[in-house]
Amino acid sequence: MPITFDHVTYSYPSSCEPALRDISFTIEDGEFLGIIGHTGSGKSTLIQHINGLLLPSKGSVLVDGMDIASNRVARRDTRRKVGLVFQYPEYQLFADTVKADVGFGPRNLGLGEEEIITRVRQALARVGLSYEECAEKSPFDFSGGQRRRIALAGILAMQPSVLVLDEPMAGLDPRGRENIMRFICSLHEEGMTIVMVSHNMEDVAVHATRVITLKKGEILMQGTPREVFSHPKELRDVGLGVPLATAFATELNECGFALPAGIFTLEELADAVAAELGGVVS
Amino acid sequence: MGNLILGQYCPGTSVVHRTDPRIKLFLVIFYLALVFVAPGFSGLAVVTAFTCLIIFFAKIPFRTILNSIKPLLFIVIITALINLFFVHSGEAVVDWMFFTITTGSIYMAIFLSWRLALLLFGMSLLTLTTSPIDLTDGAEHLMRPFERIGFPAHEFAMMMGIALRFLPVFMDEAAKIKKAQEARGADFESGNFITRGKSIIPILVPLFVSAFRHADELAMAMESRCYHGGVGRTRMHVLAIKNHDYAAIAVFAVALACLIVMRVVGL
Ligand SMILES: Nc1ncnc2c1ncn2[C@@H]1O[C@H](COP(=O)(O)OP(=O)(O)O)[C@@H](O)[C@H]1O
Ligand SMILES: [Mg+2]
Repeated sequence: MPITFDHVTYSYPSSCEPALRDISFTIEDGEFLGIIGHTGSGKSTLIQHINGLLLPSKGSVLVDGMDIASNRVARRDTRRKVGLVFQYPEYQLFADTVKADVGFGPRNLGLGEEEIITRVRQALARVGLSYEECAEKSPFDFSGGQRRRIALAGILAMQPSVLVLDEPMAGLDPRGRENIMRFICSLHEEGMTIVMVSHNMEDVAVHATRVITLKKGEILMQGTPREVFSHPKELRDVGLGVPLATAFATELNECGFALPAGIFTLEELADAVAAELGGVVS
Repeated sequence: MGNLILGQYCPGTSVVHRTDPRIKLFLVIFYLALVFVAPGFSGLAVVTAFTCLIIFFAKIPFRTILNSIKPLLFIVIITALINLFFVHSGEAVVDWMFFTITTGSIYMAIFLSWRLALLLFGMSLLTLTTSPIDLTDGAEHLMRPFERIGFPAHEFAMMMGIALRFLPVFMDEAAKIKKAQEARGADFESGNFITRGKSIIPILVPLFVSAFRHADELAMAMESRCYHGGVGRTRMHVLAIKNHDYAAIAVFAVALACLIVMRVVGL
């Protein structure tokens, strides 16, 4: 189910300056697309176009070749297949039990009671929570990190084939971030298409298969992490950075090293430096 | 930021913006008097011209004002419709099934909705040109006499200010939550009255939760800066009435006098 943006421009009704300008790209099946950009560059606006919550002012979004703006059926189908996790999803919990909240999506899909319970059970297990322990508790009795996992389960229970996440790690502690990141990666390995907005360059560099950089509503760069992060100057100009290891490798190269491009993690850096100096590579 | 709404401030430095908030609140009451004293269409035309003059001095784009009262325009329309169909006086113009429109009803419909629109313009001009802080300050001053009988003027004004300040925040938040639930397949557009009412729960609960969270955080932030209510609190900006404030009062007084004369003479 490839999703294609075809020259999409969007302005919010209350402002004249467009929030998105002439955006064209395609989300391929099974890829992990990272979206980076400064605050206000239009990342959140962009991802709301993926499932038709916002409709382009100009241009179109095509799902399986059908324009979701003009085709109501296609739009409904897309809403079912694209799971959209907003920023701070835990603030959207509302039901009096975890079961009811996670089951909200499946219920809206019109599934039977038994199927809903099965899906809630699976989704909770997926995010590392036990159905027996949590199902009847209020979602408000959990910690922030756990609530976010419950909210994620609410989206997974709809069994989307594309998962779109808006800064899924914002406001979590390091362990929480790592848990969520590992969880997103495992979903990707199982074949789910992932679109992730993130401010963490390392996560995007290491896990994404493709990166889109936004600048004031326009696509500044797109390509593999290796391609995008080999332009540290352009990235810095739009208020972004490159992973620490990449920056360090660049500096070493300026001092006479000849490290290869595409170093994103400390391990890769250590190995490259060791190889360069004729040491032991792990 | 979402749409400008009634109660939102549009920053500026015009003479209307700079008028003392106490005087402005007082003049709004004056303005109400103008609208209600105005006899017939000629009077309303004078008030309309007067309102345009204020808008001109406030240097606020007409569209901004129109946008800010848009959510309330339906009241004007309903008023017009009710008067159009339920007032029966004068000659019948249309008489078809149970719809009877008379010359009197047309007159009343136009007169009352015009009047109401002017009131909305006046209110919206006040909030567009006065920051919530100034507005609260002014309200507190005007309510101060009631403190003698135990009315908590400062606390009341503070609550009003906070409410005004957070209104746009909650509008934004409600829109966000609505989208998030739509992404989970919630449907707010179809269904009968009851299912629609029920479908609003997934928006209302998170909105209340977030309101309490905001309240908690705000209380903590205020307390950590030693806020302890009105007693003994001094101000950074002490309100003082200046010449242009007197001028504003004079202008309003002249306008009122004109209208009273028009009324007495029977124009
Ligand atoms: N609901 C809205 N109404 C009007 N303008 C908005 C709204 N949401 C975002 N914007 C504007 O659109 C632009 C892009 O915002 P957004 O997509 O939220 O950026 P990001 O997620 O990259 O921080 C910003 O200039 C922002 O002010
Ligand atoms: Mg955002």
